[in-house]
Amino acid sequence: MNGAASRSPPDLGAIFDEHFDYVWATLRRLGVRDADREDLVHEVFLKVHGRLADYDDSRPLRPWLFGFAYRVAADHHRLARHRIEVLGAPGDAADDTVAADERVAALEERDLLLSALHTIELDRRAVLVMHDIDDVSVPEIAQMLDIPLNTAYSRLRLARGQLGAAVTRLRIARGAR
Amino acid sequence: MSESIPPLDPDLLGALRDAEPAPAVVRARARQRLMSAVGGVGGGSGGGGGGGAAGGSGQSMAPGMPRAIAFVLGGVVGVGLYVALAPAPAARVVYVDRIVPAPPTAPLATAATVTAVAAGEGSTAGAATPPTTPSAASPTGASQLSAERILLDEARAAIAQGDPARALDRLERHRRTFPVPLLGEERDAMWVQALVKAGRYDEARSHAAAFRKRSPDSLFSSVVDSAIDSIP
Repeated sequence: MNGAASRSPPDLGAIFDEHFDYVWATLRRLGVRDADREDLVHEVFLKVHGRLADYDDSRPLRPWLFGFAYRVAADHHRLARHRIEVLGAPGDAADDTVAADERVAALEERDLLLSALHTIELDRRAVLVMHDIDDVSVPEIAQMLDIPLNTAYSRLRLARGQLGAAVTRLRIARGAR
Repeated sequence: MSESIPPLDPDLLGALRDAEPAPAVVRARARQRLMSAVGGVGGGSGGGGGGGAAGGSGQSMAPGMPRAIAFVLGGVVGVGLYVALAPAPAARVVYVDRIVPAPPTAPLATAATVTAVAAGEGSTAGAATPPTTPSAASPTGASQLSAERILLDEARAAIAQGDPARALDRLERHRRTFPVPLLGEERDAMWVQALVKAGRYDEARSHAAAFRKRSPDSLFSSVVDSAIDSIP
């Protein structure tokens, strides 16, 4: 995945068009329920709009967007009413009555992975998502999240360990694969 | 330091990266909502600034005047300025998911019919001899919607992955399979996107013009406009 899709400061519409799917997927990975994602995507891009003047076009855009998505998701999770979420949630609505076997299997696998991902604390999960999915370097992540470099490495190590363990646990629990 | 951290299983990593793109209708709705909000935010802050200025003038315009008179004058001036300068309230747009019922005689496709047509096994015109699968025995608008959604999701994923040929193939299958589609506007908007991605700009413009003529108030107009605007 290319994190440095655009280096010039485009307008909000261009950012939206190019990166909507990324923000959409990132919020899901950060544990935002499907029912809330559209509202939170809106909130992310509103915040982006408010800070467009601060954007440094010498830096890749996606990590910058991730910072907004992370903070919006964190605020969202902090609200007590949003804490009942994601673990075991069915994921994006898929119409199982018409899906092909492979599609169902892929969706099940993805749901299992997302469920496993959501067992990880948000601050660790954010580092894992940025590094392992978005290909952002650990030093950049540390800078973006304003945490010490060693803390970022530590979170990545812990998150990977937790993810592997959670996947194993969930597969056993579901009797799958 | 990262070398000391055990890497993720490549299969896990691949599956995690495999994100499903948002439905086009959600994207279009979100874009429209954002652009409305951005316009509204600008107007709203302008109005707030006017109110603040009015209050400030009430306090500073007459230092020797009794405080009560200055207060009243400030209030009157503030209200006047607010009435004169406040922007009209932004139009509120309410979106409603539309499920257009198919005519009774329309062929109702299921995954089986999608697969059959995709494999070139014939058309769905033979509605008089319905398949014997349970879902096809009692076809509903919802099953057609789901079957259409599968093809359009594949087309959307292909566009996102930079494979416009595959996207156009799925869109063409959708057109053949669903002569009375529930998601026709979404398909046509994606068609324009795919043509642009394929570098077939003249066709894209032609499709876009037809789309605007056919569906001038479509939620997907911004998708089409954006695709056309991206033509270099």
